[in-house]
Amino acid sequence: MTTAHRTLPGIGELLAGYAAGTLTPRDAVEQCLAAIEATEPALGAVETLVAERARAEADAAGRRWRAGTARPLEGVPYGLKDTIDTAGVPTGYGSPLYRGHVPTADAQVQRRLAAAGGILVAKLATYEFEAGRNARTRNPFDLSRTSGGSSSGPCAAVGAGQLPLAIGSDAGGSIRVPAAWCGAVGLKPTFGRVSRRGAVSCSWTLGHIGPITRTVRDAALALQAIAGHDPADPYSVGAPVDADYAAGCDGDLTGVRIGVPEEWFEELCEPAVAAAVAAARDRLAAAGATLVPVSLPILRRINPDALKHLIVPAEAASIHEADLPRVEGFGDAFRALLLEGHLVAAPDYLRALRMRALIQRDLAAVFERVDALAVPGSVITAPLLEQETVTLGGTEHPLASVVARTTSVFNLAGNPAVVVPCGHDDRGLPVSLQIATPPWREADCLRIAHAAERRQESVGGIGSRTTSRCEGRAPS
Amino acid sequence: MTVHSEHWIAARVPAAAAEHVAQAVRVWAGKDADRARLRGVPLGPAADPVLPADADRWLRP
Repeated sequence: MTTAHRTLPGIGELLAGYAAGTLTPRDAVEQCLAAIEATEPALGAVETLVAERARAEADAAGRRWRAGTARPLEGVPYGLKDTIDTAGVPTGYGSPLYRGHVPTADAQVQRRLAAAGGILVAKLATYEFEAGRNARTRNPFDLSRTSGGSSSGPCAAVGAGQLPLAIGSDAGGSIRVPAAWCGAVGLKPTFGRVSRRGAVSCSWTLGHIGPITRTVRDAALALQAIAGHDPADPYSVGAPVDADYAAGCDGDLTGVRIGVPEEWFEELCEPAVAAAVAAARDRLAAAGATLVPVSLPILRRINPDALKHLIVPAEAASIHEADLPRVEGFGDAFRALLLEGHLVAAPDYLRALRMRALIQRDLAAVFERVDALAVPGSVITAPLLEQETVTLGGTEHPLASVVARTTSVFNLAGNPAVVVPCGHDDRGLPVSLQIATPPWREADCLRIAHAAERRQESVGGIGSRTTSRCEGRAPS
Repeated sequence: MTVHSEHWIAARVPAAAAEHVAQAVRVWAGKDADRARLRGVPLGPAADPVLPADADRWLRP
């Protein structure tokens, strides 16, 4: 049994150690590789390891630190979801059809991380094209449970302490739900904030790329490196990037108004999750914020998940039409999604896009009254691998209908949202708070989440009651 | 409707196996009620769609 989750330093600690000369990038890379060796293949987070390349880059990073030419993430090890292209490194998109595929160019997010001095250590497991299934990746807190997805590998790897940083993608909750279940911080920035060039997706209009880390400040450091306009990505937006997201984490919450929605988000919710989220909000109030009840009745009329179930199949069927002649080569879940996409009528697809605008309008009206919303990152904790339903409020629901219940609305509206651990259920599984703010206000999102994290630490942080429980063999 | 849907997919994706087409149609049919509820929400002509490359205008930085 390992306690890697508690011993691997985060990004901020690594950078401080490198600067002080108490730690080297090579030390950090070796620690990551040791943690991966100790937890794989049981965890199932890693698809491709680039150990020798990482060691060579770590040695070069060490030289930069010694020469005084270190870049912002110099020597920080990271992993990428296997939907993100890496030149010369196998990138299979989680798909049997693309097993062994080796891209010839890096995705823009990989270029930015490398330019900031980061060190790619591993490509990480994903649902097929971020929308199929992945039965391989387990939850680091309980190997009989799922990590969630589609950023399964990135969230499990960070939750288990294999890596201090991973990059995932999120078209309906694919960063935030697995991050919540794996006890990690997961940030979905504003749509267009981070370039998606070179990353495959299941949806043009819902997909986002963002960081998964152990702490909110680490997420801020990562965002600084990957945010910014990419003229070669038609969905990238030239919005100003804040000068220092990490420094902004320390601002206090005096005068901050935090909305607590009356509808939807907690109408179906495990009691332990609701209690932990309510306690986290109370701690934000104790830190100076004002809790304000807000109403979003549109979410009772327009189920965000039902919209997603029109938009994603239609867009995925179009994105992947070149592969339809070999559709039988896809995995079952992704193939079914593509075939479903051919049944979405154009007026229904357009109606879904029009309804997004209504949701965005009503959210914008709420954000006139409050600075942020505080809701559960997920209404349930990590389910068992074979689980297909969940009982909430005395009624049994298909798991698929509740998994993204609190997350997909922010994909539809495009605004930023971050999940941060805020407690545990009685099985020791992580519970997360989700903070959402208006578009482009990632700094506010991170500052509020950081305050929640600090207050959580003062009452017993995510690592104090429970550690990830991984060892190198799969459970029988 | 089910048979029509299966023919529709089979015509557009001839490489798909019949059992997989039938399965996709069953899953799709299971979400009929969700789609009917969405169609029941009135939309005025001023309700524009959010289009893929609209982020600059849509989110107004």
